[in-house]
Amino acid sequence: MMWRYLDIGLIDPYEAMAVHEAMFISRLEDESPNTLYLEQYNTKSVFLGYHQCAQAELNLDYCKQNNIKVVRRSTGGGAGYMDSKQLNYEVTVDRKEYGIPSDFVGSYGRIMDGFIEALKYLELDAEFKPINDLLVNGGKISGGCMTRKDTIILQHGSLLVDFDLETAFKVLNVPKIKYKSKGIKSAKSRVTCLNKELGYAIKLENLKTVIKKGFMKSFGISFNDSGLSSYEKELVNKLLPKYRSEEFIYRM
Amino acid sequence: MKISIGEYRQGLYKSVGGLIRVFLRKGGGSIEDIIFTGDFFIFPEDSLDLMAQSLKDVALDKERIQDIIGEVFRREGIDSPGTTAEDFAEAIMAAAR
Repeated sequence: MMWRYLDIGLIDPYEAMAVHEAMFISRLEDESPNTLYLEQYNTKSVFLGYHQCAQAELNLDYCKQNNIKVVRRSTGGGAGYMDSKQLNYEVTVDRKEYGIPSDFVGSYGRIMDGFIEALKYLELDAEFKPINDLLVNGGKISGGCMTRKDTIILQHGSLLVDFDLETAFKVLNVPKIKYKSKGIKSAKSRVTCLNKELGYAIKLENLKTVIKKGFMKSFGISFNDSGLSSYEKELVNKLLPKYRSEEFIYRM
Repeated sequence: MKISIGEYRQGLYKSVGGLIRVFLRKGGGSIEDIIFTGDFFIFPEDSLDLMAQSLKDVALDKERIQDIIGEVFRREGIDSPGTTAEDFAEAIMAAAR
């Protein structure tokens, strides 16, 4: 079975959200193949979950003063701070073709297995922690979110290659209640990144190679490298104004 | 919708599936307006508006609120991994206190 591998490189975060939705719509309409997509953001940005309140979750003044773009996803989950030092992914797949479970945690974990296999090539043991975390040595190295319609899944998230923890916690208002129940002293102690766990700075090209290998092994697939289709590009142009609009970003 | 936070009381509740942050405007002992926000997952994604509509003018009684939200969950086939009707009711009661 062949999937598309699409590495778009550095991308504007608003455009990225339009690309994510475009690939999902196109997959739903059976116009696009199952896809593993990778990207990095070309600017500092913070991503709100679809249901989050911007003014409650973010220090908007700090974002403005520091040119941090405020972006909203069309998927649920929590806010995440990003710059160009994370590798972000999207998987669009028909779950029926691969026996991926229909429930959220089951399907999320199944897709995470591609990354777990990938990290094994780097001699790192990663574990999926429901509902949407990937842990290495107890620290969160990847978070993500999902939407689905019919049997099509869109799962997207980030792999923290390096992470500016200090800026992240200036941008995000993390309520203490969120971590109290987990018995963790502070939110910061929950996060780790690949370079820290590896003890060296991994080259992105090497990381991308092992991610491809991880998915090939986990799903028994091969990849065809290609870009967005003309239909997906058309959809991106239609969707982009929504992601750039204040009405959507500050919808609540 | 834009929230003018000052007009609302805020309630936080941490469910297994994520943080629920509720904005509540009380009218006497009832819910005048309510807005559900947070980092949980809920499918279909527009279910929160239906939940909020169904709670207009409902008394601030946890069991009653939980029953109504539970009914919306069943009727609409809502899937919210790790977050239950009771969790949403808890968040509302946290805002009401």
